[in-house]
Amino acid sequence: MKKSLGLLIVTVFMLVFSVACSNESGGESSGEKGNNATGEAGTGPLNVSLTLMGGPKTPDAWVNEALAKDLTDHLDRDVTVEDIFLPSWSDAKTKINLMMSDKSSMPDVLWFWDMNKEYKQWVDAGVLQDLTPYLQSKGQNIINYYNRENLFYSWDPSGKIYRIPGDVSEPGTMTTMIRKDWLDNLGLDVPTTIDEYVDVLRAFTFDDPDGNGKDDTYGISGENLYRAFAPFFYAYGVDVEQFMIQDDGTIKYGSLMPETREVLELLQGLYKEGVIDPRVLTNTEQQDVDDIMANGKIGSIYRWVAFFNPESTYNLAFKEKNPDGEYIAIDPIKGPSGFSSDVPSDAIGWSFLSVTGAAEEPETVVDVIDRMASPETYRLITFGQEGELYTIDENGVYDSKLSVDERNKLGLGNYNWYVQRKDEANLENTPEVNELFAARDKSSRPMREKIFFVKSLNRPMWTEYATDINTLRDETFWGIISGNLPITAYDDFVDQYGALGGDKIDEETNKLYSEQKNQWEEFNAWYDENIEPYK
Amino acid sequence: MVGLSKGEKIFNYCNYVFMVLLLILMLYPFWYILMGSLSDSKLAVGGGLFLIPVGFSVDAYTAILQNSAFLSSLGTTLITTIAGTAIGTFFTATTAYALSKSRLRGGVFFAFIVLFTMLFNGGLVPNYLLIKELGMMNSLWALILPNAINAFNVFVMMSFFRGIPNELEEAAKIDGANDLTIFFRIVLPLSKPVLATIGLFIAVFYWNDFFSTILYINDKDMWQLQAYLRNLIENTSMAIRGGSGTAVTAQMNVSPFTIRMASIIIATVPILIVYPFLQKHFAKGAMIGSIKG
Amino acid sequence: MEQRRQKLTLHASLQPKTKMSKTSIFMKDVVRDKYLYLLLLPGLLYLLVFKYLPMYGVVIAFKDYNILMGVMESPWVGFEQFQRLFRTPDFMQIFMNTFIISFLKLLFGFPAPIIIALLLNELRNMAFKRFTQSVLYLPHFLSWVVFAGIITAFLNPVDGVVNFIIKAFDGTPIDFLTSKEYFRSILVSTEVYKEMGWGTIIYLAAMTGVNPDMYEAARIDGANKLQQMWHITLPAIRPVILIMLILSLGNILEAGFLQVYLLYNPLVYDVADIIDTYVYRRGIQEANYSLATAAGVFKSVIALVLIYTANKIVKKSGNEGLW
Repeated sequence: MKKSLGLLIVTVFMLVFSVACSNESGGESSGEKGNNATGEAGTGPLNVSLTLMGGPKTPDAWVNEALAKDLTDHLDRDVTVEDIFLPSWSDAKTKINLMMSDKSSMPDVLWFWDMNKEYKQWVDAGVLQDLTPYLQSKGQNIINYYNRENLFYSWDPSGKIYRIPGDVSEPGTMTTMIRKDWLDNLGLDVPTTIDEYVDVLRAFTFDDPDGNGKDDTYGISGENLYRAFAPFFYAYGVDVEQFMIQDDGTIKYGSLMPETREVLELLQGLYKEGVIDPRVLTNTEQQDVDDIMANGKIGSIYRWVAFFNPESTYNLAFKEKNPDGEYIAIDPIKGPSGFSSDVPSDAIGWSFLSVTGAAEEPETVVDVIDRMASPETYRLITFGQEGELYTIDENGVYDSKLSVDERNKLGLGNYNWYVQRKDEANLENTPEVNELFAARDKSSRPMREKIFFVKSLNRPMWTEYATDINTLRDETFWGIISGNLPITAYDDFVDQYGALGGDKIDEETNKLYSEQKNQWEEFNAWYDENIEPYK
Repeated sequence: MVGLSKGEKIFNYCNYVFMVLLLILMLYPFWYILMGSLSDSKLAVGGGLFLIPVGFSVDAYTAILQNSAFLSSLGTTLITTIAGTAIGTFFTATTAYALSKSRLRGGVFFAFIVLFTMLFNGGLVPNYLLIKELGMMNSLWALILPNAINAFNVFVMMSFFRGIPNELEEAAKIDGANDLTIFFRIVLPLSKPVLATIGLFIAVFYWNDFFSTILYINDKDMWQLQAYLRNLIENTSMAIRGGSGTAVTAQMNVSPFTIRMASIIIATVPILIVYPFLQKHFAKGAMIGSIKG
Repeated sequence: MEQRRQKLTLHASLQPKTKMSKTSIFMKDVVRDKYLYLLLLPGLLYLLVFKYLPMYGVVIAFKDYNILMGVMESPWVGFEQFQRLFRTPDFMQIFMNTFIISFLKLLFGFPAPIIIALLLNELRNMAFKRFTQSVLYLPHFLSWVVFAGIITAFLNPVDGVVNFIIKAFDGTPIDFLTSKEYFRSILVSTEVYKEMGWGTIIYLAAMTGVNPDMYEAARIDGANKLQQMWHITLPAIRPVILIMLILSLGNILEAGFLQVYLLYNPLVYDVADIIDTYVYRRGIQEANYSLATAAGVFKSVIALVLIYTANKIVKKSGNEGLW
């Protein structure tokens, strides 16, 4: 006992000393990678560090060597890739913030998402590099893949580009799904208008569509998000979470448009009838909705197109439990005015790549990203080598020779969202699913044109007041849908909106709208001069 | 020993019945998780009571265990838990013992200093900068030291030390012992129950810690076990509220549910095994017994 | 050394008229307890380095924090962050929710482990006792994410077990998680359920200090089980109970972020929205370390006042407190 105690005390003292000593050398030891600081391409060995969020995050995996080898061949110099795996989603922003707080801990390439405020601070502090010249010299794959609009949202009005999108989703990713087998059982047609759709949902609820003699089905279910009711809101031409362009050219928050009231009233009625699955009020996780879908008691749901990939978990689980069940994707439901649209994705992208001040050869680093964005290298690091790890049959259908676990072990997917290609280079989607994506592109267009996607990262009024407004909105809207509140509660919400800071938000957003139109002009001129010729 | 009275028999009977009911109630979630983790991933989607596995598969376990990062993270967590518990328990005890003596000049001030750290802390960035300045980034020390002593444990231990009869110390002093020898020879051996308790608290903290990894570790080979598992779970399922919906389309081939359940079992069982070994220190009258001997 | 000290004391008592100055009494006591200070030293040094050195970070509650400028360079904004928090239209409601939820958790969650520990203490079959103890603390290891998933599945109005039972008795299904009447009870009961067993460990450790002879004596005097618990076991562990009570007051505004966040929904904001969830929702619009720190400082100051007061009351009642 005594001996071990003495040992402990000695250890602690040694520790304190070692800490005190290492303190002096601590600051200098880092940041000595690369070999010249001029920004020009060197010839010696190159180490490039990347923050990674995607895939299984397998350390020292095959994919790391494959990429390093590919880059070594491409750049004709020794390249090592330093993978910095970010922790789980809920913690990764903390990690990014800490890494970016000091130059010695910055990665060469930073992958990040959201974080608008921080991004603005990084740009202001000059720790991110302007990518324009390097995109011109080395970024052909990148500028060919992203369209004009994609780059616009990452463009700084000073004529610089401090980030490029890491992943821009397909223009439309979600669709109204409906049970084909239930329609057949009940002898119904695929609904096209909102009235037909409501009738079908009622029939799904009350007419025992699965023929088991029990009253255990619901018309529609989904997560506790407004997009679960997209078939309704979008038929009326509103998205309650977006700023909508009005006929007179002004901007209005979707929640305030009178159509919203109509939809809420409609939903309230359907909920009361029992057409809407009450679990929609408490489903907060993906898993909940997966479970509900797999159990096969839901007639219609608004979810991802990717569901139709035969390998997707949802699909496999659903088929397992409902061998005769079949969901089909249908065209968006038409509203009273004949309007219809699916939910559009923005062109902004949801995650981004920046080259930090720690990168001593920014041009080479852009070259590295560009290489990763090329279809060949993208396929290599996402799916492995063709022939060895996967095959493509004559119909263009991708077939992996490996199980999910084996692919994870190789680290395939570690470099996800480093310019995620959604074109043919993305082999995983079956041709049918690709078709569905193409169809959503078209079907989401009407709403895309009505929504104002805000580019500005500087929205102080929105930042300050949006939480209170949205809290009241959510209480009111879900309260109305569930029947806890009368529909007149909606009018109270609209009345209170201004006083809660809504007036200031409206003023700010309308100003941003006109500014953004001007910026678009400026950007186009810039793009024609600085990007177009270098493609 | 007097024989059990009728009232005592009834009491004992009720007590046992109550405990058995409580047992079932407390055991169920773990049973649910265990059975869920052993289910077939496709069949498990859809939920249920999981009284027995739906289908049977150990795929979720192999998926977790075969990842090379699992073993290294388990190693990291074992080392930090053992070292952290040893260091933490010992220094919690020394601090608590000094504070337990009301005769100590400045004791109120010192107690307040300790309490203050329970309520206020500098936040993420200053802590991160400190560890960086100390040169501990990416080292095991960064996972051990920042959490070794905490105020709550010090106060709990302090209140136990106060319970040791003063007469014992007085007697030792007359025999020529000083405070150091009293602490090591008398107080520590008498305090096994509280040392085991606080040791368990500290061990569980280190075992469950993932946040230190986020703050101080870049090298994936040094991640703590819980950081590895959190990452694994979130990679296979994303909370709707948390992340961007579009991200989900990219990875939907792995069943989140069974992996999640299996990872809980893997993360919990090792630390559960520790408790029975500590239980012998909780025997009734342990303290008194040793005083007599 | 010990002899010399005894001599000194003797010396002092022999000359009662020579008054020693306060300083020299103080110094004498310090020298007497030098080994105690030696024991205290590593802990204090530790707290100084690992807790107090970074403590300057608290000032970002009074600043508009910019991570690249650092804590010191970021501009001062005085109490603006606090004002931003307080001017929220529902602040009073959010504050009261926080207080009520954590108070209820304390009210039910504090005595529960004591009662269970008392009952466990009465079990005679050692194997059963040890097994029960081990099982009772299992739920502590459930993460809220998983536990919340189980709760939601059990309580849901369509195919949840609880409503299945209600329906079996011809009742109307209740949507517990969207009901303002039930929501807080669910928070409190699930919290108590999860932590109750784990909480017993400390009290069981304290009960090892009770001399078994005392129970024997009490039984001979005809005391029944309940009387033994009340008159022997409880008084023996009272100091620990009081310390635990004082320390739990430090958490009086910690209503349990993850639990609430994972279980709540807009229909129960009225009764469920707490300071932490509110600050979190604001963080979705824009991460704000300063606002979050200000909320933390606000909670800590209240906790400090409560702990200080509770400690005073405990000491006035003749018991030992934190100091």
